[in-house]
Amino acid sequence: MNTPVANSKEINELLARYGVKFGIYKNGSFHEQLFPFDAIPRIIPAADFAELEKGLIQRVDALNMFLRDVYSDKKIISDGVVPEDFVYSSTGFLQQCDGVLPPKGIYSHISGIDLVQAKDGVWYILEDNLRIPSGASYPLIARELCRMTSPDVFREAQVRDNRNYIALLRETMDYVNCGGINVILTPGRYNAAYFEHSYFAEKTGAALVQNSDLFVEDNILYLKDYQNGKTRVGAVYRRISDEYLDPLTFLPESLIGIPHIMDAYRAGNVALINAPGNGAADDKGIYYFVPKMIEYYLGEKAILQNAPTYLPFYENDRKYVLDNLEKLVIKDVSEAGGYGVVFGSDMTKEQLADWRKLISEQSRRFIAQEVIDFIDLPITDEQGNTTLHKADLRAFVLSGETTRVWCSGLTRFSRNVDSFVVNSSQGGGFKDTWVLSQE
Amino acid sequence: MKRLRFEYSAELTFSQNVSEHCFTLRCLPVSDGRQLIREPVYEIFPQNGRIWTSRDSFGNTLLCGRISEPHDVFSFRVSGKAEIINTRDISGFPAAVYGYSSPLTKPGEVIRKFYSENTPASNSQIDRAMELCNALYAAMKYEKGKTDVHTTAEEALEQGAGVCQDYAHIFLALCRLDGIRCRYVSGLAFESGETHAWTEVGSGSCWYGVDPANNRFIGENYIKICHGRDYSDCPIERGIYLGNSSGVQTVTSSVAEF
Repeated sequence: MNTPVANSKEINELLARYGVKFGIYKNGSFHEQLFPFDAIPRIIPAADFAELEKGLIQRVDALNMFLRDVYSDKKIISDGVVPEDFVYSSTGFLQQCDGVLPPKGIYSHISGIDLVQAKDGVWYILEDNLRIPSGASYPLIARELCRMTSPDVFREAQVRDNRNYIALLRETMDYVNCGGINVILTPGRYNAAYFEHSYFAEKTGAALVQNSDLFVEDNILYLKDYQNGKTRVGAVYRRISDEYLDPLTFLPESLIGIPHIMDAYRAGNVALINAPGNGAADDKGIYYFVPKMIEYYLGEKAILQNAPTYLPFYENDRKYVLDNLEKLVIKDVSEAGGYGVVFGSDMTKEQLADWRKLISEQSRRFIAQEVIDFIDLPITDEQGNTTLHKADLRAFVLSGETTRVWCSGLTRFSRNVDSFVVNSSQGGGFKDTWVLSQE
Repeated sequence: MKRLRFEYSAELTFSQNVSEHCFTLRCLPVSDGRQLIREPVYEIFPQNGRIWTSRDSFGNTLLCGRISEPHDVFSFRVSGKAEIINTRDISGFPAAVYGYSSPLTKPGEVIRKFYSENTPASNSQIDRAMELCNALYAAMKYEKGKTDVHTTAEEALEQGAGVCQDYAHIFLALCRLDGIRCRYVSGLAFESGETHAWTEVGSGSCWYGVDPANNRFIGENYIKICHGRDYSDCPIERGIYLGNSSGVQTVTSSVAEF
């Protein structure tokens, strides 16, 4: 089953026509670019996925319990499992959210967990994205187009249907809705994922809104209508980041936020999806502690492994990192989207020395990881040749009444044959992810 | 015990009309283990908006509001009575977050150097804090107009001059370097004039009020309005509106025994 869908070119043309784009900021200006699709799917056997599913549910449940704990009793700190410093010094920990219990106690409703598969078949967690993980719409729409261009393939191959993402998303919003309608809040069309915002709104029936459509009165969030009327909003799937959400609580200069939305949220009158303050759990420094959280909250061993990670904050780890820098990958804990990632193997002698100094001086700012030799997936290039590129998988986990893993995912591959960086903001492409229904 | 009567008012005058004015006021003093607030009354102008209350994660009471109609003056006034029942606030165990640096108190080279040259020798946290307060008071000059509300502790200490807010921020930065939990306080302290800024130092299960700009513990005529990790957590007035307009703020306050 190497090339079940042989229509890459055609599907990319359709994606362009449907406006499936990805926006990036480069040198201060906004460019929309197509997100190149490769039609050879990544195939995950049923048994492999069942194991992934168990591990992902376990991980996301523990992360949600961690968030609930650090924003209330902080038992994991007083019990000495996570050092206090790693919580309070994290830029993702928002003091403004302390003591606030979100509707139904759920913090991360939509989690994007990035994994890679090593050459020996073992899956490793690369990072957790609990703020605004984007990208589920791309495999959804690509699958839809593949079905149109190659209907036979889907009649014959035992691929699990991925169209239930929309239902999962809607159920997640409905479950935490505090009374009123669901809305998807977008910063507007100059956002990297605007296509996705409008796609989900159309499919789930939520209203697609910008900040000026909403206002708060008496700690209740309303949508304005054209006759000067108002409709209560019960859940906001917001696609703007925490610090821009409410200019009266966070950045005063935010022009895309809604004044007093945090007061409505604190009063328990509206659900924010995902909850503000989730950065406290997906910080690259906190990642190291996730297997410990799973043991602490669930009394279980972690099913899915972290990539071997070192915290220069700890003296033993720092020594190892300084001694082995040339074979490690260094990540800046405050950066996202593939920025702030450097490989020791790419550094000159002088750069290695500079980095050793920087890591010694700012030990809390970086983590170091062993480079995992993850598998290459075949890509068909413009000339029709097959080349091998590094690829990861973003799995989407939705937490409502229960925690469920979407049986698909976003497989991203690196733009260059030799590159390990697969983030779409760095110019890579994507594939459909097929989860087989049986072996 | 001391009985006080207080009054506080602020007026914002805009150069042109503004509309869709949303605001959050931290202007209502709250009862705690040191002060009991009686009969608080507030008024907000223009009166055609919606006003409601909320609470932030620091425990401050918020007056929230939204005035859609165009207006060029916005004002609010709070008055009431306070009973000062204790010299320190015995209401709560200081939370760990007050031990970490915040946006305006992040130490830079100047503060770190100052701390290393003035590291306290005492044992108790309160004595250590007062040593830092003394050193800071000797190094700074009280001067208006050299700093604004966005000035960081580092910037203020570097220029060696500032107002009560700057003294408070530098003091907080130094205490936190010393491992002492402490917080920023806005309040009323003078018979008449503007609002004042001071700090509270956590020790045991108490908060002790320390006024770095006057190099002393707070007195019985101090009424706390709100607190946070630094000024940016608890401005008394914060607003956002539509309109190409600049605002001028005038503040008057008074505290008197009765």
